Amino acid sequence: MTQSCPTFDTSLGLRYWPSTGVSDIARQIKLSLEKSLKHYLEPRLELLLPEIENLRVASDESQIDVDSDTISAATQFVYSLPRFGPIPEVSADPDGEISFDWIGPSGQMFSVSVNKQNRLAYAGWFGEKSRIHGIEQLAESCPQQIIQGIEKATR
Amino acid sequence: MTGSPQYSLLARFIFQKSQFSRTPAKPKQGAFLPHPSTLKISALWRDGLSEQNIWKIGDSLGAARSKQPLARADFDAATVSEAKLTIEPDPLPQIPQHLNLCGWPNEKDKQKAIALELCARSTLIVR
Repeated sequence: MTQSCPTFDTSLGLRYWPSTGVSDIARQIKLSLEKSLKHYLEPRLELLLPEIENLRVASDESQIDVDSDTISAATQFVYSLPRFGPIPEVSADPDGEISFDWIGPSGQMFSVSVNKQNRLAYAGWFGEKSRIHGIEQLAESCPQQIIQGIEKATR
Repeated sequence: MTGSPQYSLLARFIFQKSQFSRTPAKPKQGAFLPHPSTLKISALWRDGLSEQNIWKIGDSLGAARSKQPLARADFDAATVSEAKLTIEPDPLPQIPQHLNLCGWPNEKDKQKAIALELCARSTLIVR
């Protein structure tokens, strides 16, 4: 019997995907699954990663420059994002952080700013009586508060 | 000071394409975030000004950075109060209507929450 037990999460999960598979065949299944998943995700990554890289040169004079560490943290954040749902719009903040913005059809908004210390500052406006904000740390998988914020803004 | 007796309508110019969305037509939070060294943002009283004059002022303000405004966010003084910011007049030689929105917190998530509040209550005018 061949058994593969990949641990699914909601992130893009191309890095450090944990698996408890034990046999060679299980490892092959895992690799094959990763390959097909990567193929599916490539369009999202191809869109977002160059945009992030371009922020290095597109900074406005009135802004603090976006540095390499921030670009690296933002790239890592992209890998942790949910696999499905709308692709965020990317821009540079005046303080040199990188923002990811989701705007829903009815005007709901959710935004995450990533800095070079891997700090995620997020805020959401979902209606007159529904708002959130907070701080999280960049991790392999996207923090639940951020996943929920994206879902609330874009549903 | 949260307003001026004779003024109630404000505008903030947007110079970057990445700071507003066309569909839906809304400014994005980046359009309102303050620079960390000043913790204030520039705006304008637009009461009684024609569209042409508003954009002309925008062009004057953008001249320093060799940019023209691509859009602007229109909002009112009540929105500023609700966002817990203050209005400080900052008249410039040719632009007596110029002001700053002050009182921003230091914490980034709180700044973003205020910026989103301003976005939600603003009307985007694309040039």
